[in-house]
Amino acid sequence: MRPPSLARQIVAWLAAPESREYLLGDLTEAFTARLERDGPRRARRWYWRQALLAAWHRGRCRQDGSRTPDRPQPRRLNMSEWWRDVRFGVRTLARTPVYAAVAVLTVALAIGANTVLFGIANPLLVRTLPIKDATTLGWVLFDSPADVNARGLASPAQFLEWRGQARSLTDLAARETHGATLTGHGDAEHVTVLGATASLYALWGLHASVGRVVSAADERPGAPHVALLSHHYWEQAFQAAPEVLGQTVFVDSQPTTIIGVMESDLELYGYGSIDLWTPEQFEATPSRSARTLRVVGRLAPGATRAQATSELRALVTESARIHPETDAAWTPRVISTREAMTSPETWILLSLLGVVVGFVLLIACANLANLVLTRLVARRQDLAVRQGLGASRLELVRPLLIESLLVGLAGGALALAIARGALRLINATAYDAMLQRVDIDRNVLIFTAVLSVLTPVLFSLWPALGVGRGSIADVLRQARTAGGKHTERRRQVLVGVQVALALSLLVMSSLILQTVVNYQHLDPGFDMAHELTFRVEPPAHRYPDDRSRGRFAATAVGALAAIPGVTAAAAATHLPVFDEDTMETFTGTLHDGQRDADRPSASSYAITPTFFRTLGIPVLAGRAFTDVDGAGSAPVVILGRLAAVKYFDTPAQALGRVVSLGSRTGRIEATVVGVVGDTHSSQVTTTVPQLYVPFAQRPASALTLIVQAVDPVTRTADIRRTMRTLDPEVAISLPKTIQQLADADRGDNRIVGGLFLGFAVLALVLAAGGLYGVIAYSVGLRQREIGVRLALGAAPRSVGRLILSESLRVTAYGVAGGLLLAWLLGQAAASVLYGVSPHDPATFGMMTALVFLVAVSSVCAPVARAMGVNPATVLRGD
Amino acid sequence: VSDLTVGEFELLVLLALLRQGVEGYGVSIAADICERTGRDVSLGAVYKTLDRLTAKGWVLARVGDPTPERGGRRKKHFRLSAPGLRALRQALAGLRNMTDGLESAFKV
Repeated sequence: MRPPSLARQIVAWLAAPESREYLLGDLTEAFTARLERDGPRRARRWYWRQALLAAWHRGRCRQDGSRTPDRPQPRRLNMSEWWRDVRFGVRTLARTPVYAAVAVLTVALAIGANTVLFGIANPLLVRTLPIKDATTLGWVLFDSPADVNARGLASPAQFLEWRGQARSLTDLAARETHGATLTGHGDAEHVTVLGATASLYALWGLHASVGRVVSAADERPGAPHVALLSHHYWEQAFQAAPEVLGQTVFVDSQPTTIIGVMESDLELYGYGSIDLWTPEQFEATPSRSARTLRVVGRLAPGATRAQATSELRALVTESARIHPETDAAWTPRVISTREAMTSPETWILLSLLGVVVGFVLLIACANLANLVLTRLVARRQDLAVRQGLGASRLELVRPLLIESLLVGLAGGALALAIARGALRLINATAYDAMLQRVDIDRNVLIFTAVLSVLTPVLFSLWPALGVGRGSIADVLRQARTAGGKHTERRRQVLVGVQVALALSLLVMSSLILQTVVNYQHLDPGFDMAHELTFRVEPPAHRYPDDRSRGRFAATAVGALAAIPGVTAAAAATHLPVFDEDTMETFTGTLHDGQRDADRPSASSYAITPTFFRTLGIPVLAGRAFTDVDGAGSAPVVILGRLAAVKYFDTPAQALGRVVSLGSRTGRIEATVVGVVGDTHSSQVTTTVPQLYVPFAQRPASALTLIVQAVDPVTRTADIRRTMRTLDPEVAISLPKTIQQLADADRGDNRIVGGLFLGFAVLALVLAAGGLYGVIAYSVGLRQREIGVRLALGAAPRSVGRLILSESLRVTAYGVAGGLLLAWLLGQAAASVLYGVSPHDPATFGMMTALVFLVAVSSVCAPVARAMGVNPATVLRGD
Repeated sequence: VSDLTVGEFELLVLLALLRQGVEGYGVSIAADICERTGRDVSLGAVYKTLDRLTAKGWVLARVGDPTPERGGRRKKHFRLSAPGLRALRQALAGLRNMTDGLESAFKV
């Protein structure tokens, strides 16, 4: 273990050249001794102390350097003047510990808030992606006019067209993820597969550590099936054995040859959990209706994203003329990597938080500017004398600037400690993988360091500008009545601005908090407290047809329901809210045929009879499915309430109607036998028309099983055992409670809400402190005026009223500005709010009242002091 | 402060050097002072003083050999010179004169 290098450099830099070597040698020797005796921690602390003491002594000796025979060089003299000011600053601050503590704490909290946010945003802003030349990539999205939030996917036919024709976007690559069952190597396992074109590997710069990556030949229709193992799956399932090359496994019962192992896991989106990489194989006549592909390409040299967008749009318009039914509704858009990596909501929230912490910093600066102004006024005479003796303005201001810099640096150091604690708390409570890892790294350190220097400049520059202006004689003459109208005005403006910023932050944060609470109490239309769910994909070679799949679902549900402690079980194609909706159009309603856009559509689910009971969804009219609604019996359908009302006016009218649904074997006519309560859609906050068909009449190849139990988590082992007994070749995903799914989806909202709340409260406290400071100071200055007023017979009450009305006037100006600002911020936040209007009058009113309340209570003490002024004492003092 | 008076810290350093003969150096002096007075002195301060005492001609320095525990750096030993010893005597005499007759005040 060696001495801390930075401290060693400080010593080396400060030590007199003639004794440098010996001093460093001594320090190293003593450090080594301490290392053995006290351990590394205390030894390092000792070394640092030595270094700082050396710095201190060096400065002191420099200062009286004129006595030593070797007079320092002029430049050094200058340095030593700065150094003297540093020492002077430390001493001044030490003499006014309350000011020092308040100032440092204010800076620390404000910079700390900024550091926390930067720490969170940092990985999004500056992270280096594990892919090649991310800046020149163009990611293709689709906007569908019907739903602005839909980020559509391309169809294989479309992709191949673009690949052949697009000029501004080259090396186009497509990819899709899906689940599969892997057999032929130990137990059946459910794996996540990324199907990608060969071009993706070159585009993203992905390599195989063993074997080769996918080539263009593997994409051709009928080419032998091949796959690469992801790095982690190779290690987990194949013990990192190099002999895997050439082995054959079965992916969804297709014999597949392993051609390689990926070099590393791709930490991008959720791609780190990909197990298998396969070629994207296109059929001879690629589909135009199945939109499954995500497309990305590299911008041609000189081409912009806007050009690429318009080129793709032109291609789509062209193909939409020939295939209007599949291509017309989708407009492509090419976006940057950064946009593609993070949802617009995240950017909006981060920007709003950025505004919040920026405001907090401004409020803190305004506070400190006020304090500095006060200190300057106190030193006014001193400064005037110095100026009279010929000091330049820079020399007058320098001690002040240095003192502020010291405050800034100390505050910055404390801010790091605060931010570290806050980030640790976020790590511990977050569900999001990135939030679990946010930490203080080099970028954050640089950010904080820059802020620690900029903040003091910001808050001491304005007061400093007034230094050295005006007549010296005036200052010296009116020694007692410090301040003056001008500075008084300046202070009030500062406080007004603080109040405005604080109010706007309070309003916005309160809106966001209400949103978070609304999400938390969101009723999705079904029970979330007692359900455990998991997904299974019965392998196709064992369950090749509808009949066997339907039977599997029924048997599984029966077996699960028989587990002790389980109160109900069901199967469905997918879950509401947590899975994407699959929209399906149908006919046979009261409102058919007026316009094409009116074609009734609904989000459809195939479910087993116990589905509604298991999820606690109420049956509003008619009946739920029963075991009678089997594969061979008459087709039946159940509608959600919204669908029933929208297409049949009332639930009662919907019963007994026959609707025509699409199916693999042509259209089927199904009778509406029931109407149930609506559940929310995958948009979480809204609902769409819904329809349900019996799983037995439309079995899917993969299904979600739902188990209801009083204490669902404790049933996990039983569930695994039951499923294994049922069929050991069926892989199941990790069972999770629905509450866990909900938490993973939006549990981190709490952190967002907490940040907004914390920052807004901080802003309010700082602004209240600012108001208090200004009023208390003004009362202090006006002692004499108040004394005269009282002596001339003014009632203490009226004096109190005077002071109070002054502070309320300042607050009122601030509130007016703050309401305007809050209105604008609310507008900006509108798209991320839920369940509360961006201009909610109650919120605006309550926050305004809160600001006034805090304003009044923060000036209570100075007002009381003004009322308690003893005229005799004050006037005698003259 | 004239060049002939002995500062308080200088006095401590001179006394430590006297005790340690020819082998005294930064670490040993700092340790001695710390042990006997309970003052946590920094090596930087000790060197500062030693440099000043050397400049006054009261202390003589001798450069020793580098050792591994010093990171390969050489060691500088210090000892009192004749003028240094004289100055020390003078200072102590002054101190003794000042404390003369005050012994009762120092009794524990």
